[in-house]
Amino acid sequence: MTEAVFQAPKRRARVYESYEGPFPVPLCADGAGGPEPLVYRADVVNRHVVVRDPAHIGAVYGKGYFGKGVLSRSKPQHSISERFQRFGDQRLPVISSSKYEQHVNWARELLLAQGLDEDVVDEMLQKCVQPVPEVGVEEEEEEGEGQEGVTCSEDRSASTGPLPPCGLSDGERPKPRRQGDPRYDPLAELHERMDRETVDGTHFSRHDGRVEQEDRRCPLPSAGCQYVLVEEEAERHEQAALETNGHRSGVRLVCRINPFQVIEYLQLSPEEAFFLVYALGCLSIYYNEEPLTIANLWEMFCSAQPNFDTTYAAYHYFRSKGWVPKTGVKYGTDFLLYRKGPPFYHASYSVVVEKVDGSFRGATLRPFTWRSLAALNRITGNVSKELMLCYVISPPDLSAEERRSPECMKRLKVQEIIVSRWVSSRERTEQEEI
Amino acid sequence: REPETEASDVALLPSELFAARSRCHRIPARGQKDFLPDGSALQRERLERSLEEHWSLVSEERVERLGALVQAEWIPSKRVVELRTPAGKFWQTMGFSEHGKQFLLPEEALYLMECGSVQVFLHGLPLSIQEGYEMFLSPSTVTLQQYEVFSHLKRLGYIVTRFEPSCVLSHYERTLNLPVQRDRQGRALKRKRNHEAKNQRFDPENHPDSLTEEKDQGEVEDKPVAMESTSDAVLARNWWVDRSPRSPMSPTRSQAPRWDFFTITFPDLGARGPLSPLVAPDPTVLPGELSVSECELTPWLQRLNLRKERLSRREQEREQARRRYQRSVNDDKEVRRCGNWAEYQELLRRRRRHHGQRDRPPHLWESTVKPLVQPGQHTSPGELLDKISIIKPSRLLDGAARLEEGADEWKISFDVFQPDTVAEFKKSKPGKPYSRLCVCSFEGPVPDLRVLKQLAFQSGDIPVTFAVVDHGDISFYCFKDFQLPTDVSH
Repeated sequence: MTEAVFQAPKRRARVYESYEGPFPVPLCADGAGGPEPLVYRADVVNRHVVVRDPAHIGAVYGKGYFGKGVLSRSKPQHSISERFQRFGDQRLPVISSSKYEQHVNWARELLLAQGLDEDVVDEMLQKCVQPVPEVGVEEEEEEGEGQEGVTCSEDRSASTGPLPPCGLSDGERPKPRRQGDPRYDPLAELHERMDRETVDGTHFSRHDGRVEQEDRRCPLPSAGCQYVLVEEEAERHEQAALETNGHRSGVRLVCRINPFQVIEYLQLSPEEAFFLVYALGCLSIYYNEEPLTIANLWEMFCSAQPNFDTTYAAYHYFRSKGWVPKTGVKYGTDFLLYRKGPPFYHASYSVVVEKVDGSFRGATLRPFTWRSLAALNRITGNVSKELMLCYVISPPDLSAEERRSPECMKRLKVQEIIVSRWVSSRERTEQEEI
Repeated sequence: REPETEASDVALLPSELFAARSRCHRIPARGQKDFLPDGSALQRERLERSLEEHWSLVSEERVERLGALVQAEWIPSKRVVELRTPAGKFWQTMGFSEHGKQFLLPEEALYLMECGSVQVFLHGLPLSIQEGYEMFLSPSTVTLQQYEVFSHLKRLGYIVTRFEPSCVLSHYERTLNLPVQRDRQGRALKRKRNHEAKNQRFDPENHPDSLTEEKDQGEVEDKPVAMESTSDAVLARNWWVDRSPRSPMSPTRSQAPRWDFFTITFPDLGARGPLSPLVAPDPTVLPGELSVSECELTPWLQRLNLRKERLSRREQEREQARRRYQRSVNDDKEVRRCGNWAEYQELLRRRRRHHGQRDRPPHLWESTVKPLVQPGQHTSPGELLDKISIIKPSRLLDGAARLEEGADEWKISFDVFQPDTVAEFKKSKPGKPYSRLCVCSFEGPVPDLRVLKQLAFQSGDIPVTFAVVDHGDISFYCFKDFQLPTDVSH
């Protein structure tokens, strides 16, 4: 037959994510009128379009896989550390002390660059890097030193009554602690003899009577603060206790505030940004706090990127067919087409976009020679994709004036061609290998 | 026939003949490749040995029995080779007959010469392979590159014939399933394109002229119902022409509307109570001589399916979940305060404006170019995809008919048939080829969309493969039309 056969996309072996939706717009049945924003916000920073608000990042990437986290491979999941440990009621990232020092130095440089005095900077940092006591621990080592927001100074004689005598935030009912209470716990005497820190430092998974009430005792201070557990040299008298906890010998974890938080943004390519604004109407792009109109955006992108109208037309076409186009720079082409999204399937097509005029003459964007076409075909075959040429056909009477507005999209047409190599030796005819 | 009496060929001594007969015909195995020259003596020796084997193999003289060779003669004026002795097995797929004599095309003859099946003479002297190359291959017959492709495929067992443009059936002709009549040289008889000679096959209603017009000016249609649609179009056009004086666009707008909606009642047929029959309409509003009496509703309502729908359990649960969040519009106090439709519209407009800052930011919606879709305004993902599909797909054959004939550099040279069809292959009725070949040079340009369209149009429904020749090394590439399917994955 004259037409290329559609090969089903290959599913990935392990899929960790769940599919939320094709686009970050709600259907009118749900969502509309709800509290979530329907129009997300992006900014132009250094001629790049970035989304900064974490909620917006989650929505824009989560549905449709637009953009790329600037500190990540694709999904914006940058974290300061890969290791997490339980601390009180939360799981905090664990970093080495040298890394923590690096962050402190960055914070210092930043504050100095703002013109503050060195002593002032030092004082600020001193306050900031104080270790945060673990909730519920006897504060022997870390006598409360004026940390921000850590208000636990209640005594810890919890074993005496059914309810712990602490003040509680939010006036919530505490969960009664039965462990250690002689009325309920037959092992209460044993419990009292155990080291307090050991008990609280270890993590029991769903143990009945496990201390849960510490959740409510010390609320987190200002939301912007990030806590980290820093691995530091342990002092001698703690070694024994730590070893029973299973920590590495000589290392204790101290909770401190991270003075320099590295926040990840989501960077959108011009095509993705324009699609979200023009086709879906769910993104607003601001430049110097001023929102840009669609015509402005079109002009800006056309001047920033040559042939933006052609590549955008191809991007829009593939999106309107329900496929996810991502950048094809990895394999030497313009786009890679995924079905549903990169986490679910391997890319099916590697697309080269070409512009042709009314009489179908073109090949101006990327003139191929047989050698370069053969090379590209070979690469694409090695990574199990199909090479697709996408011709964006503009009608002969499309004036330059019309091209200055994105409305010219409505007059363009797209022709897809699949390039494949036919091997003539009888045993292997690629066309029949399905 | 004694070898010595032929004035040409080198006469072989019996000893040489015997040596040739008993020569080992095994192709030397080549072993594993070394990746880098390492300058060692062992490697050099191995290389030399394999080169020598190669050389001795290539320099062997082919020895054939004269009795097995078919004798033929090259006719330069007609650029064909005429067989003097009967053809052998190759006749099944190559050659043609004319005036009772057997002929070979130059590329076929050269190929058979290289195979050692045919000996071609010119002016009584046999031609060498080199002379064959020089004489048989020319721009007016078959070029060297085309011959390289031809012989490459023939050696692999494919059947390769010359491409004749007139043999390509248009879609319309294919649907008629006419037998193809080939003339002496394998070219199909040129059929008159206006079909007047074969009128008895047509229905008299279908106007052949308009159909050819359709074909010439329109694009090649791929739908199998092309014939019906064109005939419908023809009829439709006539119908329109006939009834134009009574067309609905004739100006009656200047007159006042004849229906007074305040006196015309619209009965509520959905009401549960007893329904009065519908009164007869005012005869003045009815066209022509039509008269309508009173209408009884009960028999009609009985025909409606008013039975309760029986849903499966899952559907019931889904309905319940949906109904839980449904809010009746009448519960809304503001809506109840609206006295009529206009006030309700005003309320909606007010509400929309209130949400406007959030849903419809003015810098997007109040400027010259507006977004295509407003978030939250569509009911299904498919509908959303439809609304944003403003760029239409194009097919390869669209607009291909109106392109003028391309330059000589891009033309289809051969038809290729699969090797496993050799047994049933008939030269008079070859059937549909597997592919058509366009031969080009590796140093030359890559075809652009215009060339692809031209060749696809010339080839009809057979895919076109490009044979790219790089000094004897041939790669084949296909550029196939493709339509990316829409993925509404929910």
